[in-house]
Amino acid sequence: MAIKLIRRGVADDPAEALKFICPPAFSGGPIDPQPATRTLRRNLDVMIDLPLPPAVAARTRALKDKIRLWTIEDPDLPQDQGRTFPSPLIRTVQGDVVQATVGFQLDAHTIHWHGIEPTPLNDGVGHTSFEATSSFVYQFATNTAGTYFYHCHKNTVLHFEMGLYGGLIVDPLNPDPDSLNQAPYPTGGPGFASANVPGFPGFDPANFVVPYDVEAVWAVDSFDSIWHLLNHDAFMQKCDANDPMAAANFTNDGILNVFRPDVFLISGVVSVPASSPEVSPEIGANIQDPRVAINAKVNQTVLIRLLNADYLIHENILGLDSVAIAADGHPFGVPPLNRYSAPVRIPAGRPFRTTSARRYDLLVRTPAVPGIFPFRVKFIDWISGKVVHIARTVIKVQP
Amino acid sequence: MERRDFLKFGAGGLAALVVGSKMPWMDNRAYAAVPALEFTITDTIKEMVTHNAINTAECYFWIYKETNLPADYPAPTILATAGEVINIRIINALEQPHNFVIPGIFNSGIIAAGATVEAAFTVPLNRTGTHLYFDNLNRPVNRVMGLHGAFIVMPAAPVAGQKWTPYRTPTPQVQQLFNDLGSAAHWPGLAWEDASPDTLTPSFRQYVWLLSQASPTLFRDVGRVPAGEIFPAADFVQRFRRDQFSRNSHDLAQTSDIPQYFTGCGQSGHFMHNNPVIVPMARVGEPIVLRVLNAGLMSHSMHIHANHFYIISVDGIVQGDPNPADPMLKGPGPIWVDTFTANPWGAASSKYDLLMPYMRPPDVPNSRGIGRGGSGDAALNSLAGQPVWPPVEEFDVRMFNTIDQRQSPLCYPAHDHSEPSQSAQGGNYNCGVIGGQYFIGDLNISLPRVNINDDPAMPLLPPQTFPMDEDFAMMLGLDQDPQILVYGIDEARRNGIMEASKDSALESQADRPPFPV
Repeated sequence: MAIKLIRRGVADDPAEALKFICPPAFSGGPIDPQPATRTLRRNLDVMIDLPLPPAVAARTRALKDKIRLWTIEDPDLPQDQGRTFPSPLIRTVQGDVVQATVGFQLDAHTIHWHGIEPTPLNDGVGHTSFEATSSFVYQFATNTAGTYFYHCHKNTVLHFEMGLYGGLIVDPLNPDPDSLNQAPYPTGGPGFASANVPGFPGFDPANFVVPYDVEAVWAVDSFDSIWHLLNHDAFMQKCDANDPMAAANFTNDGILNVFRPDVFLISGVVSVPASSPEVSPEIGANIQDPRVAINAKVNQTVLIRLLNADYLIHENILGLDSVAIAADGHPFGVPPLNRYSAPVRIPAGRPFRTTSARRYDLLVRTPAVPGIFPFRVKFIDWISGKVVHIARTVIKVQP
Repeated sequence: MERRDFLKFGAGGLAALVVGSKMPWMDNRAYAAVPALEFTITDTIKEMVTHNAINTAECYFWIYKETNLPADYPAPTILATAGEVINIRIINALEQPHNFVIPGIFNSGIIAAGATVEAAFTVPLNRTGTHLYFDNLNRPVNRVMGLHGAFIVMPAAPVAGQKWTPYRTPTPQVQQLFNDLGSAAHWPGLAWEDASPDTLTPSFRQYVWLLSQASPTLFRDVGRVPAGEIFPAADFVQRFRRDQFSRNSHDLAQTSDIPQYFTGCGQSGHFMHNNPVIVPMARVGEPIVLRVLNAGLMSHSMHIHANHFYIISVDGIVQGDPNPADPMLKGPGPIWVDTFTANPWGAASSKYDLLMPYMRPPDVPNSRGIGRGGSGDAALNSLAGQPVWPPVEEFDVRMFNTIDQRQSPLCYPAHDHSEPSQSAQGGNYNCGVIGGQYFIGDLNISLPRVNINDDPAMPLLPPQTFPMDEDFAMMLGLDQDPQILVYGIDEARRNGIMEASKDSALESQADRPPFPV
């Protein structure tokens, strides 16, 4: 009795090889439809051009004053709100059964709901299920409250880089059913987060939730401007359903292992170099854009949802004490399934690293006196280990 | 060297060798027992993932060739038991000095070109967990060139009165997690140490993902160094890493020595993702320990779909046991995440043990909102009136143009989210480092037994198994009722689990493969 061997080029298992090399096109859904408690729509891809400040444009490898992005549109919002980068935030409530109707234009794409764990056809990975054309209704529950994101998972190395992603937040219920502020909470706060933080102001040990006043979503990213000149199927192997392993299907002259970013961003706002060109690494000016900079009052709770939406390593340094209450959408210490872990204090100034797709939820208590506190993120190349840029923003604490 | 040889083994005929006395955790048909270890340090050329008649994608490696097995990159996983004495013999058939080191366990000392070392060592009791054996000379060149493999040390027994964990001295949190498996209401199914003969499920299910990266042009040049000379390590690192941030540079990958192939256990793309000795293929309720090591020179950010997993050990430190005075001041313990950072060997966070819980994918809707399976967590009904778990409607969605393939068993990927490593030769997504996990059934709900291929002429699948086609059932050995046992090396060959090595005699320098020019 042999464990079956899978040999190079022989494709002993042609069905599996075919599925992997040559994802089928499919549309329709939902499969096993259920009554939904929440519905939403998205379209992709929608191209937008992100203007680059002159100081950034001058030293991009592509030498352009704007960078072409592909985004995922919310067609139910006015265009100026529905066509953004990152793509419009999705908020659901813990326990929801979600049906997401996704339109696919221009090209086959998918959406993977990163950290949400449904059946494979709803998981949105082309090479293990299908690439969607025209439209597909994804169905999944959102059973654990926390920070997630959604992104295209076709030719992912390119499509994720091109901007096809947005945030996905699952809110826990407000323990007070009579409150006017019920989940899903307004983006920016106030709201509640799942956590197990005894002693933290407002912590509700019966429901394992903690209130926050101000919320920030920091999606930290970088772009290689050369990649943004490429087409959807750049450097993919060709799909020959009759002979998936055929020699001529493969490319051998691609550049997708060479990622040399020259644009650095937090939540879609470009970090503009403030240091002289001789300084290495270059340091960005403080980002003051309200999409990024946090405005809070004294003695408040701020919830920072931090996402590495990049291919680089990030070293994050926050100028205030924080408590990491969750990673990857799952709150530390909340029973039963996360009873084995506990939240962690991160003292002000202590660096901590994130790599691609990792998320941390950080609770910050603002001090009793006003002040301006820094946040810095060092972009570290994942091959060379070199710091290539430092982006900065602030938490402003006012009376 | 016959290229066929390492294709056979490289294709995953065997997960691992076990050495030492017979232990309960060895009952797994993917293991073969050997009385002692013998390696030859030699070189090879391996066909990489995109290799074909037109595009001869090959890479030169240095390898530890285990005597009983065909040559492959990387070296085979070795499993041993803490406290055992292991005899080892290492022959250096290359032209530079090499060695064989398992940090904290064994160090061969320098082995001159052409020399042989014989030794015996005792596996220390306090070294249970995951280790790398590798050549640490001319660091990191010899390791990155392929001289590495995984060395797993299992405890001889569980902590008295507790269930088995992978450790002699687990933290309270990790012990609690393993005690809960199969016992707590939220973990119905098997404990890690449990086998299930009815379903042909082995005990102590464990897998290794040994990550590395290959630069064919750089490795070729290392192989061309004249006998007795050493390739400068600083040059190697510089060329591998290359200064990527000369912003005025418009040149492309063809001129670069940065890695082009990204591998797990020496495989990439389809050959990794669909390999049943690399990628777990198990039922809900059959938890698995996954050991991940990064022997290479760059970071990966590994994301596993379908289930968050518990990080139970990092760099040999079992997670948990925080400072009782202020638990928030130390690490968070075994956290439950969907992505982790696998840094290169020698940096922090380069070696992990994970527990893959094999719970029902928790966001398939069910009545309590958590995918625990078992009573009280019945799946919700679809509008058609049938439960959405198992997803029987999804099983039979057929969407191929030419091959009518069902969606069962359930297939999920696990990949580096630093996606440039999802390429080979600069493209061909998804021919990079991609593992996964398959769900082939569910122990916690009643599933009717079905025939392979739904064909009454074919054998019945084991109970609690999702429908599947013949090729998949054969790959998993579910087309018959094999005994679950550890094979001796000869028995493994008789049973076809392991291809007999064509020639276990040492390869002479004259037999070294030519370098691609």
